[in-house]
Amino acid sequence: MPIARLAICNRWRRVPAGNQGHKQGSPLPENLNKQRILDYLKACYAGEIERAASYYDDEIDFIAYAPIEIFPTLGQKRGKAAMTASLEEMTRQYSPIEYEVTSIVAEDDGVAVMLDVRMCARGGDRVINVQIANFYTMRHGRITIYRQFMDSFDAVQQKLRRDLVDELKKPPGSAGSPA
Amino acid sequence: MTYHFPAAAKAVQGTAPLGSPMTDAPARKVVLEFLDAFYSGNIARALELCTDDVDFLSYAPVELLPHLGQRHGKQQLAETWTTLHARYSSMRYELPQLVAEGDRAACIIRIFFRKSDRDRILQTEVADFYTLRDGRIARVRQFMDSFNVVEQVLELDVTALLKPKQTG
Repeated sequence: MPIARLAICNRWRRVPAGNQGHKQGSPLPENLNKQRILDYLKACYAGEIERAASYYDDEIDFIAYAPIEIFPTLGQKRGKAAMTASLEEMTRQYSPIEYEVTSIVAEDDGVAVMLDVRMCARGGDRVINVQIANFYTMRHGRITIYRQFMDSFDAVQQKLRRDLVDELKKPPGSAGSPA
Repeated sequence: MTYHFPAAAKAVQGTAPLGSPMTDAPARKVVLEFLDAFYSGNIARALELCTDDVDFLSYAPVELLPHLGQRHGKQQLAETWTTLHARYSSMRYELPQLVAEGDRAACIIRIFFRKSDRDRILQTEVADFYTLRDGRIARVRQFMDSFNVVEQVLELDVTALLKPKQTG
Protein backbone atom coordinates (compact mmCIF):
# COMPACT_ATOMS: atom_id res chain seq x y z
CA MET A 1 0.00 0.00 0.00
CA PRO A 2 1.53 3.33 -1.00
CA ILE A 3 2.48 5.66 1.77
CA ALA A 4 0.71 9.00 1.61
CA ARG A 5 3.04 11.84 0.90
CA LEU A 6 3.68 14.04 3.86
CA ALA A 7 0.80 16.49 3.98
CA ILE A 8 2.03 18.42 6.96
CA CYS A 9 4.82 20.00 4.92
CA ASN A 10 2.27 22.01 2.97
CA ARG A 11 1.08 23.66 6.15
CA TRP A 12 4.54 24.74 7.21
CA ARG A 13 5.97 28.01 6.17
CA ARG A 14 8.87 27.46 3.83
CA VAL A 15 12.05 28.62 5.56
CA PRO A 16 15.20 29.26 3.57
CA ALA A 17 18.33 27.47 4.66
CA GLY A 18 20.90 29.54 6.43
CA ASN A 19 20.93 31.55 9.57
CA GLN A 20 19.03 34.53 8.31
CA GLY A 21 17.80 36.83 11.02
CA HIS A 22 19.74 35.16 13.83
CA LYS A 23 23.01 36.06 15.45
CA GLN A 24 25.67 33.38 15.42
CA GLY A 25 25.64 31.37 18.61
CA SER A 26 22.25 32.57 19.76
CA PRO A 27 19.64 29.91 20.41
CA LEU A 28 17.24 29.38 17.53
CA PRO A 29 13.49 29.53 17.98
CA GLU A 30 12.20 26.16 19.09
CA ASN A 31 10.68 24.99 15.83
CA LEU A 32 12.89 26.60 13.24
CA ASN A 33 15.26 23.68 12.86
CA LYS A 34 12.32 21.31 12.83
CA GLN A 35 10.82 23.30 9.97
CA ARG A 36 14.11 23.26 8.12
CA ILE A 37 14.41 19.49 8.39
CA LEU A 38 10.85 18.96 7.20
CA ASP A 39 11.56 21.22 4.23
CA TYR A 40 14.82 19.40 3.60
CA LEU A 41 13.11 16.02 3.56
CA LYS A 42 10.48 17.30 1.17
CA ALA A 43 13.13 18.54 -1.27
CA CYS A 44 15.32 15.48 -0.81
CA TYR A 45 12.65 12.90 -1.61
CA ALA A 46 11.13 15.01 -4.39
CA GLY A 47 14.46 14.87 -6.19
CA GLU A 48 15.05 18.61 -5.85
CA ILE A 49 18.79 18.18 -5.52
CA GLU A 50 19.83 21.82 -5.50
CA ARG A 51 17.26 22.78 -2.93
CA ALA A 52 18.04 19.79 -0.72
CA ALA A 53 21.76 20.51 -0.96
CA SER A 54 21.17 24.08 0.22
CA TYR A 55 20.51 22.62 3.67
CA TYR A 56 23.95 20.98 3.85
CA ASP A 57 26.80 22.63 5.68
CA ASP A 58 29.97 22.72 3.57
CA GLU A 59 31.59 20.35 6.08
CA ILE A 60 28.64 18.04 6.60
CA ASP A 61 29.54 14.74 8.24
CA PHE A 62 27.12 11.97 7.23
CA ILE A 63 27.01 8.34 8.26
CA ALA A 64 24.27 5.90 7.28
CA TYR A 65 24.80 2.63 9.09
CA ALA A 66 24.43 0.05 6.34
CA PRO A 67 26.76 -2.14 4.23
CA ILE A 68 28.24 0.09 1.54
CA GLU A 69 28.98 -2.93 -0.65
CA ILE A 70 25.22 -3.24 -1.13
CA PHE A 71 24.26 0.42 -0.73
CA PRO A 72 27.09 2.59 -2.13
CA THR A 73 25.10 5.79 -1.56
CA LEU A 74 25.14 5.12 2.19
CA GLY A 75 28.06 4.65 4.58
CA GLN A 76 30.16 7.72 5.36
CA LYS A 77 30.20 10.92 3.31
CA ARG A 78 32.08 14.07 4.15
CA GLY A 79 31.41 17.48 2.66
CA LYS A 80 28.60 19.02 0.69
CA ALA A 81 29.89 17.81 -2.67
CA ALA A 82 29.97 14.17 -1.57
CA MET A 83 26.51 14.41 -0.07
CA THR A 84 25.09 16.05 -3.16
CA ALA A 85 26.62 13.39 -5.39
CA SER A 86 25.15 10.70 -3.18
CA LEU A 87 21.73 12.31 -3.34
CA GLU A 88 21.97 12.55 -7.13
CA GLU A 89 22.84 8.88 -7.34
CA MET A 90 19.91 7.93 -5.12
CA THR A 91 17.57 9.94 -7.32
CA ARG A 92 19.02 8.26 -10.42
CA GLN A 93 18.35 4.84 -8.95
CA TYR A 94 14.98 5.41 -7.29
CA SER A 95 11.92 7.37 -8.34
CA PRO A 96 9.38 8.02 -7.08
CA ILE A 97 10.32 8.04 -3.41
CA GLU A 98 7.41 8.41 -1.02
CA TYR A 99 7.77 9.03 2.67
CA GLU A 100 5.84 9.67 5.83
CA VAL A 101 7.27 11.30 8.93
CA THR A 102 6.02 9.24 11.89
CA SER A 103 7.81 11.20 14.62
CA ILE A 104 9.95 14.31 14.89
CA VAL A 105 11.69 15.63 18.00
CA ALA A 106 13.63 18.89 18.10
CA GLU A 107 15.70 20.57 20.77
CA ASP A 108 18.06 23.48 20.17
CA ASP A 109 20.41 22.41 17.37
CA GLY A 110 19.32 18.76 17.38
CA VAL A 111 16.49 17.20 15.37
CA ALA A 112 15.54 13.52 15.28
CA VAL A 113 13.10 12.14 12.73
CA MET A 114 11.54 8.74 12.30
CA LEU A 115 10.07 8.05 8.87
CA ASP A 116 8.69 5.35 6.63
CA VAL A 117 10.18 5.43 3.15
CA ARG A 118 9.04 3.65 -0.01
CA MET A 119 11.57 3.72 -2.85
CA CYS A 120 10.70 2.51 -6.33
CA ALA A 121 13.64 1.49 -8.52
CA ARG A 122 13.67 3.17 -11.90
CA GLY A 123 12.94 0.92 -14.84
CA GLY A 124 11.84 -2.01 -12.76
CA ASP A 125 9.31 -3.32 -10.34
CA ARG A 126 11.62 -3.37 -7.35
CA VAL A 127 10.32 -1.50 -4.32
CA ILE A 128 12.13 -1.02 -1.02
CA ASN A 129 10.10 -0.20 2.09
CA VAL A 130 12.15 0.83 5.06
CA GLN A 131 11.74 2.59 8.39
CA ILE A 132 14.50 5.12 8.96
CA ALA A 133 15.74 7.13 11.94
CA ASN A 134 17.64 10.32 11.12
CA PHE A 135 19.53 12.47 13.61
CA TYR A 136 20.59 15.94 12.55
CA THR A 137 22.82 18.47 14.23
CA MET A 138 22.39 21.96 12.82
CA ARG A 139 24.96 24.74 12.60
CA HIS A 140 23.91 28.18 11.45
CA GLY A 141 20.72 26.70 10.06
CA ARG A 142 22.35 23.97 8.02
CA ILE A 143 22.92 20.26 8.62
CA THR A 144 26.44 19.68 9.86
CA ILE A 145 26.14 16.19 11.40
CA TYR A 146 23.73 13.62 9.96
CA ARG A 147 23.32 10.07 11.26
CA GLN A 148 20.97 7.56 9.67
CA PHE A 149 19.79 4.22 11.06
CA MET A 150 17.65 1.50 9.54
CA ASP A 151 17.03 -2.22 9.67
CA SER A 152 19.86 -2.70 7.21
CA PHE A 153 19.51 -6.47 7.17
CA ASP A 154 15.96 -6.17 5.90
CA ALA A 155 16.97 -3.48 3.40
CA VAL A 156 19.67 -5.75 1.97
CA GLN A 157 17.17 -8.59 1.64
CA GLN A 158 14.77 -6.33 -0.22
CA LYS A 159 17.43 -4.96 -2.54
CA LEU A 160 18.90 -8.38 -3.38
CA ARG A 161 15.55 -10.13 -3.26
CA ARG A 162 17.06 -12.87 -1.15
CA ASP A 163 15.92 -14.54 2.05
CA LEU A 164 19.15 -14.18 3.99
CA VAL A 165 17.62 -15.45 7.20
CA ASP A 166 16.97 -18.79 5.56
CA GLU A 167 20.47 -18.86 4.07
CA LEU A 168 22.18 -17.97 7.33
CA LYS A 169 20.28 -20.51 9.34
CA LYS A 170 21.79 -23.33 7.33
CA PRO A 171 25.16 -22.22 5.94
CA PRO A 172 27.47 -25.20 5.37
CA GLY A 173 30.02 -25.54 8.15
CA SER A 174 28.79 -22.46 9.92
CA ALA A 175 29.39 -22.02 13.62
CA GLY A 176 26.78 -19.31 13.74
CA SER A 177 23.72 -19.52 15.89
CA PRO A 178 21.07 -17.05 16.88
CA ALA A 179 22.01 -14.74 19.76
CA MET B 1 3.34 -7.20 39.87
CA THR B 2 6.82 -7.84 41.25
CA TYR B 3 9.78 -8.97 39.20
CA HIS B 4 12.84 -10.68 40.58
CA PHE B 5 16.18 -10.32 38.90
CA PRO B 6 19.71 -11.41 39.65
CA ALA B 7 21.83 -8.81 41.34
CA ALA B 8 23.35 -6.37 38.92
CA ALA B 9 27.07 -6.84 38.42
CA LYS B 10 27.61 -5.01 35.21
CA ALA B 11 30.30 -2.61 34.22
CA VAL B 12 28.51 0.59 33.36
CA GLN B 13 29.64 3.80 31.85
CA GLY B 14 27.22 6.46 30.84
CA THR B 15 28.35 9.72 29.35
CA ALA B 16 26.35 12.86 29.07
CA PRO B 17 25.70 13.87 25.47
CA LEU B 18 28.28 16.40 24.41
CA GLY B 19 27.02 19.86 23.74
CA SER B 20 23.44 19.08 24.62
CA PRO B 21 22.02 21.66 26.97
CA MET B 22 19.73 20.44 29.72
CA THR B 23 16.10 21.28 29.16
CA ASP B 24 13.00 20.84 31.24
CA ALA B 25 11.56 18.27 28.83
CA PRO B 26 10.12 15.56 31.11
CA ALA B 27 11.30 12.88 28.73
CA ARG B 28 14.97 13.77 29.19
CA LYS B 29 15.17 12.90 32.87
CA VAL B 30 13.15 9.70 32.51
CA VAL B 31 15.12 8.44 29.52
CA LEU B 32 18.47 9.17 31.15
CA GLU B 33 17.40 7.29 34.27
CA PHE B 34 16.00 4.46 32.18
CA LEU B 35 19.23 4.03 30.23
CA ASP B 36 21.32 4.11 33.38
CA ALA B 37 19.11 1.47 35.01
CA PHE B 38 18.90 -0.79 31.98
CA TYR B 39 22.59 -0.86 31.11
CA SER B 40 23.58 -1.32 34.76
CA GLY B 41 21.43 -4.44 34.89
CA ASN B 42 18.79 -2.92 37.14
CA ILE B 43 15.92 -4.28 35.06
CA ALA B 44 13.41 -3.80 37.85
CA ARG B 45 14.07 -0.07 37.93
CA ALA B 46 14.04 0.15 34.13
CA LEU B 47 10.62 -1.51 34.11
CA GLU B 48 9.33 0.85 36.79
CA LEU B 49 9.96 3.66 34.35
CA CYS B 50 7.71 2.00 31.74
CA THR B 51 3.92 1.87 31.54
CA ASP B 52 2.22 -1.48 32.11
CA ASP B 53 1.32 -1.69 28.44
CA VAL B 54 4.67 -0.49 27.11
CA ASP B 55 5.04 -1.13 23.38
CA PHE B 56 8.61 -1.95 22.33
CA LEU B 57 9.70 -2.54 18.75
CA SER B 58 13.24 -3.08 17.57
CA TYR B 59 13.65 -3.30 13.81
CA ALA B 60 15.82 -6.37 13.26
CA PRO B 61 15.54 -9.95 12.00
CA VAL B 62 13.99 -11.76 14.96
CA GLU B 63 14.84 -15.19 13.50
CA LEU B 64 18.52 -14.36 14.04
CA LEU B 65 18.23 -11.88 16.92
CA PRO B 66 15.31 -13.25 18.95
CA HIS B 67 15.73 -10.78 21.83
CA LEU B 68 14.73 -7.99 19.47
CA GLY B 69 11.52 -7.52 17.48
CA GLN B 70 8.27 -6.53 19.19
CA ARG B 71 7.30 -6.85 22.85
CA HIS B 72 4.09 -5.79 24.57
CA GLY B 73 3.88 -5.14 28.29
CA LYS B 74 6.29 -5.35 31.18
CA GLN B 75 6.21 -9.13 31.50
CA GLN B 76 7.45 -9.71 27.95
CA LEU B 77 10.10 -7.02 28.32
CA ALA B 78 11.23 -8.44 31.65
CA GLU B 79 11.75 -11.88 30.15
CA THR B 80 13.57 -10.52 27.12
CA TRP B 81 15.83 -8.20 29.06
CA THR B 82 16.69 -10.86 31.60
CA THR B 83 17.75 -13.19 28.78
CA LEU B 84 19.73 -10.43 27.13
CA HIS B 85 21.63 -9.58 30.30
CA ALA B 86 22.40 -13.25 30.84
CA ARG B 87 23.98 -13.49 27.39
CA TYR B 88 26.28 -10.54 28.00
CA SER B 89 28.49 -10.40 31.07
CA SER B 90 28.94 -6.67 30.95
CA MET B 91 27.27 -3.77 29.25
CA ARG B 92 28.63 -0.29 28.74
CA TYR B 93 27.14 2.61 26.87
CA GLU B 94 27.84 6.12 25.72
CA LEU B 95 25.26 8.67 24.68
CA PRO B 96 26.53 10.80 21.78
CA GLN B 97 23.18 12.52 21.19
CA LEU B 98 19.92 13.01 23.06
CA VAL B 99 17.08 15.18 21.81
CA ALA B 100 14.08 15.74 24.08
CA GLU B 101 10.89 17.66 23.49
CA GLY B 102 7.92 17.45 25.84
CA ASP B 103 6.98 13.82 26.34
CA ARG B 104 9.19 12.52 23.52
CA ALA B 105 12.88 11.85 23.28
CA ALA B 106 15.26 10.32 20.78
CA CYS B 107 18.85 9.31 21.30
CA ILE B 108 21.83 7.63 19.76
CA ILE B 109 23.38 5.06 22.07
CA ARG B 110 26.82 3.57 21.51
CA ILE B 111 26.78 0.16 23.17
CA PHE B 112 29.53 -2.24 24.17
CA PHE B 113 28.32 -5.72 25.18
CA ARG B 114 30.75 -8.40 26.32
CA LYS B 115 29.57 -11.90 25.45
CA SER B 116 29.19 -14.15 28.48
CA ASP B 117 30.45 -17.32 26.80
CA ARG B 118 33.55 -15.91 25.12
CA ASP B 119 35.83 -12.93 25.15
CA ARG B 120 34.11 -10.96 22.42
CA ILE B 121 32.69 -7.46 22.47
CA LEU B 122 29.65 -6.52 20.44
CA GLN B 123 29.85 -2.85 19.59
CA THR B 124 27.32 -0.85 17.65
CA GLU B 125 25.25 2.31 17.66
CA VAL B 126 21.54 2.19 18.31
CA ALA B 127 18.86 4.84 17.77
CA ASP B 128 15.94 4.88 20.19
CA PHE B 129 12.74 6.92 20.02
CA TYR B 130 10.73 7.15 23.25
CA THR B 131 7.19 8.35 23.86
CA LEU B 132 6.10 8.96 27.45
CA ARG B 133 2.65 8.81 28.99
CA ASP B 134 2.04 10.11 32.50
CA GLY B 135 5.78 10.33 33.05
CA ARG B 136 6.56 6.77 32.02
CA ILE B 137 7.87 5.24 28.83
CA ALA B 138 4.91 3.94 26.82
CA ARG B 139 6.50 3.37 23.43
CA VAL B 140 9.98 2.57 22.20
CA ARG B 141 11.12 2.29 18.60
CA GLN B 142 14.66 1.06 18.12
CA PHE B 143 16.87 1.16 15.02
CA MET B 144 20.31 -0.27 14.38
CA ASP B 145 22.59 -1.48 11.63
CA SER B 146 21.06 -4.93 11.95
CA PHE B 147 23.20 -6.33 9.14
CA ASN B 148 26.33 -5.48 11.10
CA VAL B 149 24.84 -6.73 14.36
CA VAL B 150 24.01 -10.08 12.75
CA GLU B 151 27.59 -10.32 11.54
CA GLN B 152 28.92 -9.60 15.03
CA VAL B 153 26.51 -11.94 16.79
CA LEU B 154 27.01 -14.84 14.38
CA GLU B 155 30.68 -13.97 13.89
CA LEU B 156 30.22 -14.32 10.15
CA ASP B 157 31.20 -12.10 7.23
CA VAL B 158 27.75 -12.03 5.66
CA THR B 159 28.87 -9.53 3.03
CA ALA B 160 31.43 -12.03 1.76
CA LEU B 161 28.77 -14.73 1.60
CA LEU B 162 26.63 -12.51 -0.59
CA LYS B 163 29.23 -11.71 -3.23
CA PRO B 164 28.88 -14.78 -5.52
CA LYS B 165 25.13 -14.27 -5.94
CA GLN B 166 25.02 -10.50 -5.77
CA THR B 167 22.97 -8.96 -8.53
CA GLY B 168 23.27 -5.29 -7.48
